[in-house]
Amino acid sequence: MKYFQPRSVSEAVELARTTESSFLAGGTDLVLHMQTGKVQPKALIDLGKIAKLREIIEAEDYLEIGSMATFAEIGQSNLVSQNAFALWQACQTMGSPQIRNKATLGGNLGNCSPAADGLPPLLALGAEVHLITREGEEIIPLASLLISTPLVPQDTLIRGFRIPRKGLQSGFAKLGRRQALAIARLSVAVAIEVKGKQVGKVSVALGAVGRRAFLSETLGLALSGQELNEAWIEKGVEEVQRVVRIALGDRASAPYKRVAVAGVFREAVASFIPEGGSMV
Amino acid sequence: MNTRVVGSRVVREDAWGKVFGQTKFPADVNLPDQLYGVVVRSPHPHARVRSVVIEQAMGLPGVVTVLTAKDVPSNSHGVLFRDQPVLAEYIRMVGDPIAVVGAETLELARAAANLVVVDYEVLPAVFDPEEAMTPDVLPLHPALRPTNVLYHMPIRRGSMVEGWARADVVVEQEYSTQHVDHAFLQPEAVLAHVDERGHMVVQTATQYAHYDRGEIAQALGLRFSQVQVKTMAVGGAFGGREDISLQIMAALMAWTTLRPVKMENTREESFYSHSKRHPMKMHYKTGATKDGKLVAMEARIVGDAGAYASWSINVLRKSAVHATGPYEIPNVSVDSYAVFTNNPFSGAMRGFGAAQTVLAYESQMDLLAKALGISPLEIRQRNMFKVGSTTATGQVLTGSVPLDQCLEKISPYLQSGVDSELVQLKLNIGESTPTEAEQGTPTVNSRKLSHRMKRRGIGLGCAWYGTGYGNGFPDVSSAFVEIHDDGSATVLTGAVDVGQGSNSIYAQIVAEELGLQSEDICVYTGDTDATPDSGTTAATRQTYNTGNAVLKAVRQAKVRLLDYAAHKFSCPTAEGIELEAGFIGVKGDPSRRMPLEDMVFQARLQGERFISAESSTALSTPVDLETGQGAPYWPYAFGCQMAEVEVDTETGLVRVLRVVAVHDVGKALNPTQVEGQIAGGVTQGIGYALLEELELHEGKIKNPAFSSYLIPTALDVPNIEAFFVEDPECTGPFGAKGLGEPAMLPTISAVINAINNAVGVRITSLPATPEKILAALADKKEELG
Amino acid sequence: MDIKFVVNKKPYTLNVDPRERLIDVLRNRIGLMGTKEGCGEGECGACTVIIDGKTVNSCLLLAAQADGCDITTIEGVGNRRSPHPVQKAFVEVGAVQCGFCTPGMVLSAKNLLDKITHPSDQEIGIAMSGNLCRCTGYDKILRAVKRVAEEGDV
Ligand SMILES: Cc1cc2nc3c(=O)[nH]c(=O)nc-3n(C[C@H](O)[C@H](O)[C@H](O)COP(=O)(O)OP(=O)(O)OC[C@H]3O[C@@H](n4cnc5c(N)ncnc54)[C@H](O)[C@@H]3O)c2cc1C
Ligand code: FES
Ligand code: FES
Repeated sequence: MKYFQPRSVSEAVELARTTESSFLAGGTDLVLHMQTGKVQPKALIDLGKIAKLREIIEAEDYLEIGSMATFAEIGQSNLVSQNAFALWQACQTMGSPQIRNKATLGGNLGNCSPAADGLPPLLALGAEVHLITREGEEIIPLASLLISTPLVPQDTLIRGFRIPRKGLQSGFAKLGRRQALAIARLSVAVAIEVKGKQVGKVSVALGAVGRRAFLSETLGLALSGQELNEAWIEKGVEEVQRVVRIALGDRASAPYKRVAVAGVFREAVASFIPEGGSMV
Repeated sequence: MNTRVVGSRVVREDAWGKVFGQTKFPADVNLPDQLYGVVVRSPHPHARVRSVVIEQAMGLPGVVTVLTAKDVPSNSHGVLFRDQPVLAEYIRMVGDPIAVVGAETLELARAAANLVVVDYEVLPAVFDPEEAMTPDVLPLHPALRPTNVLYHMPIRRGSMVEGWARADVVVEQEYSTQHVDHAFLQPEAVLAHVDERGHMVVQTATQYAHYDRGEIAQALGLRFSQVQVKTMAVGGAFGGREDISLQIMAALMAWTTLRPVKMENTREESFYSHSKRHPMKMHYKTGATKDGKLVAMEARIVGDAGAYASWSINVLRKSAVHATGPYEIPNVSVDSYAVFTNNPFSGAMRGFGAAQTVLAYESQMDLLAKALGISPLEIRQRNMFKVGSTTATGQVLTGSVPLDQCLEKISPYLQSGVDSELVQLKLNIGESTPTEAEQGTPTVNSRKLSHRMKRRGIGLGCAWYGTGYGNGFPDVSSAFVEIHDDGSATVLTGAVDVGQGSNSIYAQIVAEELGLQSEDICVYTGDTDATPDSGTTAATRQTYNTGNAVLKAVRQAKVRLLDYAAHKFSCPTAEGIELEAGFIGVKGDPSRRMPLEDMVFQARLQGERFISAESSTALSTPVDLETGQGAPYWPYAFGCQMAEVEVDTETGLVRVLRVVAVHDVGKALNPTQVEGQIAGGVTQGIGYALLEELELHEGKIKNPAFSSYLIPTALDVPNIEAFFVEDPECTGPFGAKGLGEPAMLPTISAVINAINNAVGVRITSLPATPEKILAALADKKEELG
Repeated sequence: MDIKFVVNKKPYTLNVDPRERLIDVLRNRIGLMGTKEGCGEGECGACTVIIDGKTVNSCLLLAAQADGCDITTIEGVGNRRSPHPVQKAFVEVGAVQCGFCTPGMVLSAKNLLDKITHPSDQEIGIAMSGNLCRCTGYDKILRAVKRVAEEGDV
């Protein structure tokens, strides 16, 4: 097996085009899959030496997070906690300290497990993905990307993520069996636009209720443009249960998850709504 | 008794090597030119092997050997019966080893293992013990038992007719528990080689080196004197290293190839190569009078033994004997069964049959308390064992029975918890006293919104545990002691330290007796060429039983030393001689004393040495086969715990916020280690009650990995406050009893009872998963309309 | 392929197969047996090492990924003459039972205290949450780290 360690993005992309190889980020998924024989890449392109890909940058109207930024780095970033609180929260509870030190946000998308912790917050926050494809650079909403199969062609590099800086309030919660090293059995990310006592646009994304994380349009519609109060939360609880019921159909986990999601939703909104319902 | 070293917080000598990463576990040793062995295991739960084709595997360059059943001189092993093949031709469970491949590298061995072609005749399998018990299911071990019922233990005491007649309230309930894995952190590994003496040397991690030696010798057709089993550091055991795993296969390959052989399990292989905790179904019916006295109890317990006998008989016997809980009940009828199925075999695991019944008997106690309108504490205090009580097997408890003291100590903690702030990850540093502990310092004050749906509750659990092999089985420990010329000493015993710290306990005992410090004592254990057989590190017996043997041995050497010194100092009797702080001399006469080393050295010049060998045998008698009457264990250890939990009524998640544990230890030989056993036990108890479950599909393990078989992490454990009651057990070394297993028992029921206290639902099957809790809450809502 | 890294202050140049995991290189090539394999899937933390100031699971890392890095294994932390304060506290507090998790635990604790001298209880708990222990129930381990954190003499 060949192993490349490019120093620049262009070099990496070039290698991907000319060889039949897989990108290697932190390796917390890929190395495991190689170990179990689930994947047998012909060559690896280790992105670990490309400093540019790790950067977290504040642009005029968006925050750009490089695909190689680790969960630990994102979880320690003030920029992220200010602009994308839900994502910041997700980074605190993902895996374990050792995993967070290696696992990257790009790899989280690349692996795209149904329970990936990074994706619901990105979806709720309206993130776009910055790709480098055969044709060149491409910026595409994460929500649209998640509909395609395969996610990206083998030679497409996930360059990073752009999170619009719209001053959204956001929160994330996951339900795991333990307090650490817990794969999400359910996760909910909520982002809202606040206008005084009113909520403007609301986005709710769910994880571990389908093949991939998804943004629920139904929930967005049902919860946008209303007064933010107790009743709003209860309505959210009811709606989210309905959405999960429909999404899971008659899967074995459905009877449990469609009820339990209420608590996860409540937890997700708790991070920006204090008791009583008025804003912080 | 005043002691200096015993009872103090002596630091474990082995801890240093471990913190520096120097300590060698079996995977950490290698020999030049070693082969790597990999096992081919059955994917079927029940099958006959028609043929094993090894040509393709052997064809791979670097593959040296493939061994199958026909290569094993005596193809069987097992702790009670030799019913388990080393390499199987007849498969009784998924994971049964069929062949073992030896190659120059591990990768090659793995690749070759995949090339071994096995032709199976798949047979119908049975997974439900109740079904397996029925007479029309063919027996899995016809040579052993005509049906799949491996064991039935009845206990009959008093008259059930009378008992039920006296009962004003009766509660009846079915309980069940799950398959559980030991999940010790170090996967099995072994290094075997034939040494320059022509002896078979096997380095491994085991709970009982001498037993392994016997199994290896038997299978290979060697004499015990030709086989050396040397225990490396043991990375946790909890019962899972009692049955032999890779050792015989590695030895066989080393013997046939005359090359060193290394074998190491992956975590997945580990799940398939050791026993499991017995799942049990327990049907209980318990009656009490209106003044809260228990008068009758009936229980039917069915344990899934899985594919092989292992310790199932002893486990289900322990379940039966402990079925009442630590309570006096005059009329008892228990039927306990161990049943063969095609599930993974069940064997020893911390708690050994008494861990399952604690769920049932302590739930029954809370149900009765509720029916009678008295507190959980009250009903236990009215029925608990005291000195002079008679157990269901008719055993009169003499000696140390301090459950009353344990309950008294815990009672201040049983006030209902405050339902406000969340106390998360509170470390309670230093010795806690009830008042200190009551205060509680919340470090995380999560937002209330998400807590609106959370309810708190507390629960009480009591337990008892008979230590030792029991039932009249000869329970012998042995030790050699030598006092050296420089006044230091060495203890040799077969008893393996599996991590619990028995070695430092022996050092303390010897140091105490000889007036030395524990650093002056060398403890060497678990090497069959050098140490005497001291039984298995199980049944909570090493502190008590081997502790006794060590104490007897050092006392024997000491008697000779004192006699010699008396003569030397012209003191009329040895009673006038004392050993203190490295000196030996006449009591109260500072002019007639000398350094111990001078005395021992002078003695040597006169041909006198202070060396001893001793054994100690624990007492128990077999129970009557029809009535279960007898004195099956001694001593019994008692304990109680309080758990405070928080239940999220929307997600069903349970967090254990706090556990207070009070345990009877006779005498704490080393308080640090007692606390360590309690915290470890509590955490395993929490795992058992809430998280852990081996998921099986037709005998195949669906979660043979730490990512799917979940054990608690550092963030899942509550603040644990440990107390112990010291009521000396006169037969124990310095009054000590064991604690290893009892420590996890009360946790299980304390957590389950706390859930009930918090949200009013009773979980009767372990683990208490969020699914079960939500389903129970939904049922309750329906009932209430 | 050739890789270079520094392990416990000693430089190594090794020819490795790109598929080789760091744990195997440390144990089988360099002979550093203090790094343990408990699960091989990133769950147990027994294989924890510190790379460029961060704890990672060496079972999930290819040796090639560590090219150019600075690696600390348990063998690089303290010895009998001068134990690291974490090691001393582990021994004295009673945080060691079977010891299989211990090297990883010590490294996680050391790394925490290298970064934060006086971590809170919660910070300690989180820092230790990637290391499983089946024996101690974590109680004494957390207390040992807490003791060093309070003394703050790292
Ligand atoms: C013990 C453990 C616990 C875990 N816990 C969690 C958890 O709580 N939550 C969670 O979400 N996940 C968890 N994971 C999964 C994993 O850590 C995450 O999915 C992680 O984000 C993967 O990132 P990585 O950098 O390690 O990716 P890698 O393993 O390096 O790559 C993953 C996939 O993405 C592709 N890829 C990576 N980077 C790029 C890129 N820039 N462009 C194109 N393709 C790319 C790779 O080719 C590969 O197919 C856990 C894993 C382990 C082992
Ligand atoms: S062996 Fe690496 S985390 Fe378990
Ligand atoms: S001490 Fe045994 S696993 Fe931690």
